[in-house]
Amino acid sequence: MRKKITLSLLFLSLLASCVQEEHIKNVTFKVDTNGLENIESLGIRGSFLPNQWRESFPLTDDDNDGIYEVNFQETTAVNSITFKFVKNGFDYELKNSENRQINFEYKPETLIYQTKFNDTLATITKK
Amino acid sequence: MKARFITLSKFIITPIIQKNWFADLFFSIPRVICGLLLTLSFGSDKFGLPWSNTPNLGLFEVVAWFPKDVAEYGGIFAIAPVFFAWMGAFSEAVGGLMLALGFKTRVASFLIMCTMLVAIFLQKWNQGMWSMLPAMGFLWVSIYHLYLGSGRFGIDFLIAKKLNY
Repeated sequence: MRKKITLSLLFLSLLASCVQEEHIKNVTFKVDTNGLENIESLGIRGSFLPNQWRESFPLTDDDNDGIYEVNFQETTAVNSITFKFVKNGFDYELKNSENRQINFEYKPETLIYQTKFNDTLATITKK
Repeated sequence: MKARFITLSKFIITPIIQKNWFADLFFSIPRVICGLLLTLSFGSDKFGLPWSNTPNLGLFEVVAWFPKDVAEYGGIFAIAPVFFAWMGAFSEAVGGLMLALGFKTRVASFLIMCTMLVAIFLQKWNQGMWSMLPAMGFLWVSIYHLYLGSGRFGIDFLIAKKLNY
């Protein structure tokens, strides 16, 4: 009986270590909207959000400098995310272009993604 | 005890042979295709095998999102999500390979059948019929091979020949 319990515990502990390792990803998005007209809100839609591409997650501009920001922290094993920014809840940027993408390394990471709305150029700063 | 085990092993391995070899060949086609699909795509996306395409997935590891997904089924799955996720992924990836080769076909079919029943009723049920179709396809193939075994075109047939004669 004791042997069976030990073997079961060993089996369960082996299973517990048989899950792909996850790392914390801390990503801040900063989007410059200066020069854009009729902007009431800015959101992000992408593969990594709970409702994926169906719903926008809002970015905020607390200091009214025209740069909207949002921060995400998640423990995950994904190696990349794709996304786009959305103006006023429905108006997608980069209509005829590929989605934006961030490729992760397989380790804990803190990133700042800076760009302009509807501009494919982006700077990724790693801390 | 040992004799019982051997009898049971023989029973599990020995396939049901059709009168004509062509019927066995015919039955083996969906088995091999489904087995290959499971081990090369559906299973190896979640379970680390040498041919897995999922980045950063070690050998015999289950992909990180799958235990979280399994925990959402509730009940016993929420108590031991890692165990059920690992078993489900193993059944698809390794069970699929066994099914394709016709090796321990009934064991592999049983594992795949259980996994597909869970997938249909606990994962795909609310996503509509189209979403359930792959799991249902694998379920049908596993059910009839649970009864038939590998037929003539599988490793079980060769093992059974040695065991029985």
